[in-house]
Amino acid sequence: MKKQLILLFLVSFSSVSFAQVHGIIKDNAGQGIPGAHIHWLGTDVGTLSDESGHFIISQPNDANTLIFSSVGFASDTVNVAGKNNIDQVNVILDDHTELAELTVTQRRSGKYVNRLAVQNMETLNTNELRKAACCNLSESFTTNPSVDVSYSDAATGAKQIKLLGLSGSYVQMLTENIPNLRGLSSAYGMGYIPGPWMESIQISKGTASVKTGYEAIAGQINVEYKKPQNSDRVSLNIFTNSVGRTEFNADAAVKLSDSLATSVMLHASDDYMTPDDNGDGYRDLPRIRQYNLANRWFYQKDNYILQAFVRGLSENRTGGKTDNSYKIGINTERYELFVKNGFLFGGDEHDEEGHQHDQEHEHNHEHNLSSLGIILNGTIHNQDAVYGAKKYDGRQNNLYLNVIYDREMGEHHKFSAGTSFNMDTYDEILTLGNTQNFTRTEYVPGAFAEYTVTYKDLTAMAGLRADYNTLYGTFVTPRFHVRYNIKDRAHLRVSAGKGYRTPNILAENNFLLASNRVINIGENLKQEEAWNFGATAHVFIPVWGGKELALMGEWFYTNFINQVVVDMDSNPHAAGFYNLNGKSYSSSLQFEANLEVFRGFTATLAHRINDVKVTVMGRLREKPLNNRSKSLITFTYETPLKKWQFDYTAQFNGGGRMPDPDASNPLWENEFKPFNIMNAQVTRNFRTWSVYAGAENITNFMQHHPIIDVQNPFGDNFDASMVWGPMHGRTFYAGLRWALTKK
Amino acid sequence: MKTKIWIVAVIALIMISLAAEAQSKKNENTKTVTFEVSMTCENCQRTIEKNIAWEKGMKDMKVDLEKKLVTLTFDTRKTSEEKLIEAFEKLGYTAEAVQNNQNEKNVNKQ
Repeated sequence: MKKQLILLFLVSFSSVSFAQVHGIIKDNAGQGIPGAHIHWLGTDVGTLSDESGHFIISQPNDANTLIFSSVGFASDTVNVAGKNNIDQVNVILDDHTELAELTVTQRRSGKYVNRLAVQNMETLNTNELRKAACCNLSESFTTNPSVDVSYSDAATGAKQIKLLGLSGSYVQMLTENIPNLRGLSSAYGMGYIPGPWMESIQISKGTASVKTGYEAIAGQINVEYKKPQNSDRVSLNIFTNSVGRTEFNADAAVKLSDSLATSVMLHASDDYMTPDDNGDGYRDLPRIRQYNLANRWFYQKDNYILQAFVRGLSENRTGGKTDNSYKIGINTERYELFVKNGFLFGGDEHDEEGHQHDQEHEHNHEHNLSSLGIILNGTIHNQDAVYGAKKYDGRQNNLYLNVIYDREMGEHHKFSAGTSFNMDTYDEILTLGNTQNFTRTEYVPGAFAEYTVTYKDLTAMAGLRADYNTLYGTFVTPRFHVRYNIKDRAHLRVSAGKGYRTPNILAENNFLLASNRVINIGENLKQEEAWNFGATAHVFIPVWGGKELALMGEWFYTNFINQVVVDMDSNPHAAGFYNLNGKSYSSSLQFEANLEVFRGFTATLAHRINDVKVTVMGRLREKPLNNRSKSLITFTYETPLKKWQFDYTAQFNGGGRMPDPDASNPLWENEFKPFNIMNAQVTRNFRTWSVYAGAENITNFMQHHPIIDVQNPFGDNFDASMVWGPMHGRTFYAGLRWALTKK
Repeated sequence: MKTKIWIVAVIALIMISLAAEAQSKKNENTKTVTFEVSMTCENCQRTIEKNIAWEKGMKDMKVDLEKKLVTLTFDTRKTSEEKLIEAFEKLGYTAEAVQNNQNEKNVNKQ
């Protein structure tokens, strides 16, 4: 019945025509320019672009020339007179510190570093996301050298993300620039965002802007969902693979009036079989059934923009023994709602006509804009989990408010300030023989300011925030970023900043219940606190045929002042959590080369070295289950008409240390060896649809006995958390995408 | 490790040869025309690429957004300049042929 209703809803959508222009403003690197000013020449109708550079503007009858301008860019005008059917205008603004002869590449790769941002920010767009077509956010980084994704354990299918060799809890996850997937949802949250919902992903290493809070320590990953105002009218995606995974995605977008647009996104997935290839009696991967439904709205009138998003998710995981004598069952329900309001001020004081290409004029008059953003977000997360005889039920409610005021003061100065409020309530019940109840409520009001100044080829950004946490008191977060451009050939960046976070031991580590380790949580755990320093150099070297070799070198160092140490070493039958007493750091050095070797053929080579150490019981030790290095090779070839696309990825994962085994009865090795994973995919595009097929883990490499003492799931030695490699072998997959693009 | 390197090398070779083969497929009946098109944006470029690629007889396409030029190589038995201009107009753009080379051999060289 539910499904029929949804179908009816989709079918009843119809498109209404209107005099409105929308589009995207981008820089030369293809990154959307947020807060750019757009107005009709000779009128007082104007607007600003949103975070991703999108804009919508109503077209007055007599207006035909659009003027685009933004700080640090040359202004541009577009005349749309006499062009029927043009409701979309997309513009590339030149950074006026760049050389004029910079050309727009013919086929931009799906992954690029924003050359203009002060921060080191890498964007993955849909081209990149489609290179590994399966399935959700956790698979989106397969072709990315910076982010590692691995299974947390051998039973629950939970996936953990790593950046700079640090675990995902030190990476601030955002959706639409709102903190998300925190606390309870961090264990399984990588699976909560279906691939086809995503428009792009931004990865920033190191501490990011203070505007989104203090939690980014290793970095920040932001996911932008598809937007109703510029999505395909209807799109469908069906996926299946050889180990029983099936996914179905559908979404539809419609403009209801000049100023109002909405979209619905639906995801359903299930496993029709759960094989046990290594014959240990356990499902290699759990059965995961998920329903996910979202609805979003976009409204724009004059200088006001409203965006609203609501979604509900229901997920059911079943893992453990195939005969169900040891069962893992995790049921999750999650609801999210956000409302973003944007008000724009002072953008309408243009006076003269006929200045279509007078850039001086533009720069003198269009850079005193300001905007106010009010963001409200609420989340309810409810999880009931059974791990054999153990039970863990958790509930987390989150309320988040962020108010940001931005002001451009002339061409070279930008000021932002704001205030935020975050509330988290946790209610956790853990049953291990006896039942324990943990409840906690945390309120964090805070305020922040950020200043960006540009002088010639140098841009500097300084941010400071102060927050009061009802559990930990007041703390201050300073962050600095500096970028220096040497013409358009080299970009140097340095950053330094602090980050903090509240540890949520059970919520973030409840997959550890899939082992019979005793969980010892220390008293008075402190708020985690760290400094992060980064230096990056990006060099662009012209080679043959007008092509450019991009070389990148990056080094990031994270130094913990306070950390909750996860001690898996002192006792092979326990996991201890206690305050750091001594040193803890991560040093990550990465090199990357990108080149379009010849038309259509792009290659990426990358290598990263991680040195992550933490003091465990007075001894500085290498972090266990962490690869010491990683190399990545990707090749992409697209035929000239883009009808065929071939993608190949090889990951060379370095070895690392295992947690100390029992000295008298070692059940696992001290080290794990390096291993390689290869994936390939072929895509065939047609005018409105495309099919893809591929293979993951082509060489069929597996960690063969990931579960320790697999015969005795209720014995002391049982441990499914000693996972360092893939748990399922070669997998074939195929899928189909269909889209009804808008006119 | 050595076998892995071989696999990488072989795959690279396959992709390169695929690419080379696609680029060598030219014959007597192809024609290359450069059109000046009223495109202003990345999305216009994408719309053009997605649609014009499916015109009959299309062999190759290069889009230069900055210069607003679209260079098309096509089979003259299956389509013509006029038909292609029509196709651009259908998408909401104006197009005008600015350069015209019969049997151009080196369209892929830049």
